[in-house]
Parts: sequence; C-alpha cells; structure tokens
Amino acid sequence: MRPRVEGIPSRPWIRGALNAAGDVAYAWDLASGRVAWSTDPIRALDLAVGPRPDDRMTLMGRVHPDDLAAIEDRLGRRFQSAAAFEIECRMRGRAGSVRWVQDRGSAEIGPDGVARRVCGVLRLVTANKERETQLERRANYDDLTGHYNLQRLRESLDHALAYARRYASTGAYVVVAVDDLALLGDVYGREVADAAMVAVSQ
Amino acid sequence: MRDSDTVGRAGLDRFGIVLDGCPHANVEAVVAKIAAVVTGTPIPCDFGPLHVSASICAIAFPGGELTAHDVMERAD
Repeated sequence: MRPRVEGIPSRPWIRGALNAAGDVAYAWDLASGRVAWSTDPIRALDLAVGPRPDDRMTLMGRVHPDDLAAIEDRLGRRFQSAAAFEIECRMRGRAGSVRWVQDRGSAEIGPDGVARRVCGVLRLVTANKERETQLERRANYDDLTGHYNLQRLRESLDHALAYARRYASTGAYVVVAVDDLALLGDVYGREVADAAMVAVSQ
Repeated sequence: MRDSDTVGRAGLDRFGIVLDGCPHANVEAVVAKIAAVVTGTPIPCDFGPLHVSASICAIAFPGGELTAHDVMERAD
C-alpha cells in the first residue's frame, strides 16, 4: 500500500472526472517532499518511462532543463502566499518527445505563515501549445519563404528609422521585386512562381 | 547579408530588406550584388533551369520619410 496523503480525492467520481478530463491532481507535502497523485502521472501525461515521481527531486528531474530555473524561481515566490498559480513547462515525453504540462494550484499556508502543502492539477497542453506556436509563426512570418511578413518587416523598418534618427546613423531599405512573376505563374504554374520567390529569398 | 539585416515579404512578388547601420556609400554595391545573385542563379524547375530578373530599388535613410509606411510606399 502506498501511503495516502490527505487531500487526494478518495471519492471514485472525483477520480473518474479527473481521469475523464485527462487531468492529474497532486498533493505535494513540502516538509517531506512527498508527492501524492490521483493517478499515475507517467501514463496520464504520457511522460518518459521511469520511476514514478513520488518526490520532488524525481518530479523536477523530468522537467526540461531550460524550464527548471524559471520553475524553481516561480515556485519559491508563490509559496509565500496561498494565491493560485499557473505554470507551463516542458517535460520529457516518450522517445525524446516534449510534453507541455500546465500546472495550476495553490499552497496551503499554516497558521505560522509557512507553506505546508501545495495542491494542484496537471494537464497536458502540448496540442494547445503547438497551435499557439503555429499561430505566432503565422502572425510573424511568411508561410512560403519563412521570412518576416509585411507587418514584421514594417516594424523592423520603423525601428531602424528611429534608431538612425536618434543616433545619427544611416541605413537603407531595399525592395527586390521579381520581374514578371504573374506571367511566370500563368505560363509555368503557381508552383514555379512560388519556387522562384523561395529561390530569390535565399 | 549581415546578421543585422532583416528580410521580409513586402508583397506578392517582392521582398524588402532593411539594411540597419549600412553606410550610404555601400548601398549601391549591395544592390548590384543582389541583382547579380538573382540573375545569376537559375531556378530549377520541371521545365529546365529558369532565369529570372528582379527590379531593385533602394532608399537610404534617414531622409525625408518619417515612417516605415512612407519609405515602403516610395520604394514600391
């Protein structure tokens, strides 16, 4: 029997609801460092196979190295109050994949003002994150060539203009227009016209 | 191209390049180089190598234009 930590939902329907949503509830006892789970987080979040993260060290060992410092920093600050927190971080998934995990919870503060325990819910948000990244890419970059889109190009030029004025520096804006691109498209097809734009952009 | 230069799609058939901190004396050479690369690099396609040419216009700043919009409009 795994030692049960107070606060993990014992009512079957709560556990069922969490499982149905793909969420994993946890209670992290700060004094002992033990973490209790509503379900196996490795399976539910599709993490890299390994020992079940029943303590803080094992849990943090699964976090992407680039996100570790930010998490430690944020967690340290958050636990000074019972305010709810929300953190997104990358964890190691199976076969070298990356899982984006969202962690929402809050600390329980004892009468002495010291945080006793942190309870929260982990949710897999990899798909949302990928969509977000794609939207961000679309908002900034040209789909075909991968260069900045018009909006970002204009911003970049605005910065360069302001910089040149402020620091008495110089610069130039160059436009390269491919001749007869429309004709190229009409004669050889859209794909050839696109290929020409990609080639020129390089 | 230098790291400080920015390339972007300025329209269906055109690119814009911001040469940040480029001395005015060098602009002409940059334009000539771009033209040479574009015309000298055939584009492979199913119908055989394709030669394209490009019309290039450069505007040095700071000049009369105040905003990027003005500069781009004049360059186009």
